Amino acid sequence: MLWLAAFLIAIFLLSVFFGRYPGPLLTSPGRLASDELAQRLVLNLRLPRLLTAVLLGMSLSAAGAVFQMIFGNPLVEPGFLGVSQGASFGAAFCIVFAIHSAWAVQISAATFGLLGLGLSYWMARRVRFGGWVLRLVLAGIAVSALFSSALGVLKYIADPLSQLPEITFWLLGGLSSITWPQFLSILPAVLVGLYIVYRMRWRLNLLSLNDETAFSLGAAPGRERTLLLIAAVVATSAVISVAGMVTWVGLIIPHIARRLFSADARYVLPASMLIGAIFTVICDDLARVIFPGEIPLGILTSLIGAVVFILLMIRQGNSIKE
Amino acid sequence: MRSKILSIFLLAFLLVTGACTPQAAPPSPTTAPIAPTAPPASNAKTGFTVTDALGRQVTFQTVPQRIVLAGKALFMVADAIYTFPEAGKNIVALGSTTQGSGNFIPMIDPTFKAKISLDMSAGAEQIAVAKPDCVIMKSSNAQTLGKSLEAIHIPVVYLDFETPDQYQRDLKTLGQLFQNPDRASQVAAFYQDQVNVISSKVSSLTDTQKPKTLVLYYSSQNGTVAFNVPPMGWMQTLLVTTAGGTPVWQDANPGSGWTKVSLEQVAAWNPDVIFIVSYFSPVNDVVKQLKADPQWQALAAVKNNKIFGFASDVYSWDEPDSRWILGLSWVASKLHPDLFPNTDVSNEAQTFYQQLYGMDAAAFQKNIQPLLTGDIH
Repeated sequence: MLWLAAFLIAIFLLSVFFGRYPGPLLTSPGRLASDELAQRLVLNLRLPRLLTAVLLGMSLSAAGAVFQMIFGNPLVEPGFLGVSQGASFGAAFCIVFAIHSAWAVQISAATFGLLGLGLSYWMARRVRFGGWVLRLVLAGIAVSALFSSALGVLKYIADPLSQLPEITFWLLGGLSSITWPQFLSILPAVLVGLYIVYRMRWRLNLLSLNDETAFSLGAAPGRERTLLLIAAVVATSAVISVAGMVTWVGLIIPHIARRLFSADARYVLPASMLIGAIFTVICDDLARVIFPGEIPLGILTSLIGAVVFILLMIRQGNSIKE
Repeated sequence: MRSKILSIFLLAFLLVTGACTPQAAPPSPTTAPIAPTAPPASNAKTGFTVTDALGRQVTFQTVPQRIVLAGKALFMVADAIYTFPEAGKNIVALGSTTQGSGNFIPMIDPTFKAKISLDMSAGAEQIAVAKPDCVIMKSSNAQTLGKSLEAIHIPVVYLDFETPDQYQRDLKTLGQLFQNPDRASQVAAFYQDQVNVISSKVSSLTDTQKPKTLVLYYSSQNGTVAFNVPPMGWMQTLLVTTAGGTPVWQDANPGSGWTKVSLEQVAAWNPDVIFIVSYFSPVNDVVKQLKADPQWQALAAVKNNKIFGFASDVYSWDEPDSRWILGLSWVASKLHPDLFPNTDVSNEAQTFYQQLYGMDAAAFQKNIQPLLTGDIH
C-alpha cells in the first residue's frame, strides 16, 4: 500500500510538468522558474486539475468497490446502477435551466444520482425472476435507460449554441475547464463521502454477508449499508458534477485492487482509491498531452479501462486472493 | 499501520490542497493582460475598456497585438472580425475556419499560412503557446474554455454574431477592441442600410401578401436523407420574416436546434416558396433531384417552380455569417420579385466583398464568382 501512495505522489509531481506549454510534453523546471505564464498555468490550471483527477479516481473507485461488495455483484459500478446517468441528468437539468451555482449542480447531481440508485435497488427487489446479480444488472440497465432518455429530452430542448455544447462536453467527461473554485466547491462533499467510506471499510466485509449473519456479527445492516451508499453517491455525484461522465474507473479499479490485495475490504478500499487516483491522473495526462486538442477523458478511461479489464479477465493463473 | 499510512496520505493531500490554493480571489476579466511582445500600434491608446457579449468589461492597456480566435463555431465569427483591417495583422492564431465547402480567410489574409493553427478542441494550454494578449471566442465557449483562460490572466472577449441585433452590438465591441470605432460604424451602417431598404419595401404588405415560406436544411448521411427546419430565433427564420415571408414551420420546432420534419408534414404545410439549404452537398444537385421526385412534384412550390437552392459562395448565405446580408437581399428578391425587380445578387456580392473585405473586382472574379451557386439568378 505504501508503494502505491508513493507512486501516486511521484506521478502527481511529474504530471505538474506535463502539458502542451511551452511545447508538447514537458515544461522544464528552468522554464517554470523564469516564465510567468508557465507559472500561472501550473498554479491556476494544472494543479487544480490534477487534484480533481485524484479526487475523481478515488471517488469513482471507492464507490465501485462499495457497490460491488454491498450488492454482492462484481459487475456493478456507479454507471451500472443508474447513479452516473441520474447525476448526469441532474447536472444537465441545471445547465438547461440556467442554474449555474456549483452547489446547485452538485445537489441536483447527488439527488438524481441517489434517486437512480434507489430506483435500481427498488426494482431489483421486485423483479420476480433470476438471481440477485441478474436482477440488479437488469434494474440498473432499465433505470440508466430512463435517465438517458430524460437526458435526451433535455438535449433536445437545450440551446444548441450555448447549452448543448456544454452538455455534450460534459457528457464526454473531462477536466479541461477545472479551476480552483470548481475544485474547492467539490472538495468538502468528496472528502466527507470518502472519509465515511474509508472509516467504515472494515464493516463492508460484514455488510457483504446476508442480513442475519451481519446482524449476528454486530452490524446494523440496513442503516450501515444506507450510510455507505449515500456517502459513495455523494462523493461520486460531486466529482461527476464538474468532470462529467468518466466511465469504467469504478468497475475495473476494484477488480485490480482485489487481484493485488485479496478480497478483504480493509485493503481493497484504500487500494482502490490509490489505484483509481493513479489511473485517472495518468489518463488525464494523456488526454491533455497527446494531441494539440484535448481528448475527452471519458473516452480514454473507457478505452484503457476496457483493454485492462479484458487482459485481467483472460489472464490465466491469476485469481483473487482469499 | 496501513490505516495510518492512508490517513497520513489524506492529510498530506489536504495540506497540499490548502497550500496550493491561491490566497487572492480568482482573477477578474479586468486583470491587466500579458505584455504584448510585438510593439503596440501607433494609434493605440492607453487603457481602454471593452464591453463584450456577456456584458463583461475587459480592460486593455494597448490595442491587442496577439489576438487568438479560438473555440467552436469559429468561422462565422472570424468572417465578421476580418471586416476590420487590423484583423489580418493582429490575429496570430486561429482555430478551424472551414465549413466543408472551403475556407474564406486565406483568400483575404495573405499571412494566413504563417499563423498558428489551433485544433478545434484546443484547451487553455494549447492557446497559451501563442502568447495571446487577447482571445476572442463565441460566448457559448465561456464555460468550457473561457474560464480556464481567465484563470491564467489571458483576457477573453466574447462575441455572438448570431442575429442582426447582435451584429450591431458585436461590431461596436470590435470597434472598441481595435480602437477603430469608425470602421465599426461603417460596417454596422452597411448592414443596417440594407436591412432598412428591404424592411421599408415589405412593411406595407398584409399577411396574405406574405408568401407561406419554408426553409429546409437537407442533410444526407450514409444514404439517409433528412430535412430539417430551424428554430424561430435563428438567422434563417429572421431572414424570411424580414424579407416579407411567413415561416410555415412556426409551430413545428419547439426545440432550439434543427428539427427533422417528414415529407408528409411538408405536404401538409404546402408552402408557396421552399428554400433548400445544403452545407455539404451541391445545393443545385439537391434541388434538381427534388424537382424530379414525383412526390415532391405534387407540392405547389415545386409545381410553380418556386423551390430554390439557397444562394452561397464559400459558405451558404443563410447562416449567421457576415454573408447573411446577401442572403436577406436574395430571399427578398425570390419572395417578392415585383418589389425587388432589379436585384442583381452577383453585383451585390461584389459590392459586399469590396466594402467589407477590400476585395477588388479582379480578386472577386477569381475567388468568389466561380463559387456562386444556388438559384442566384
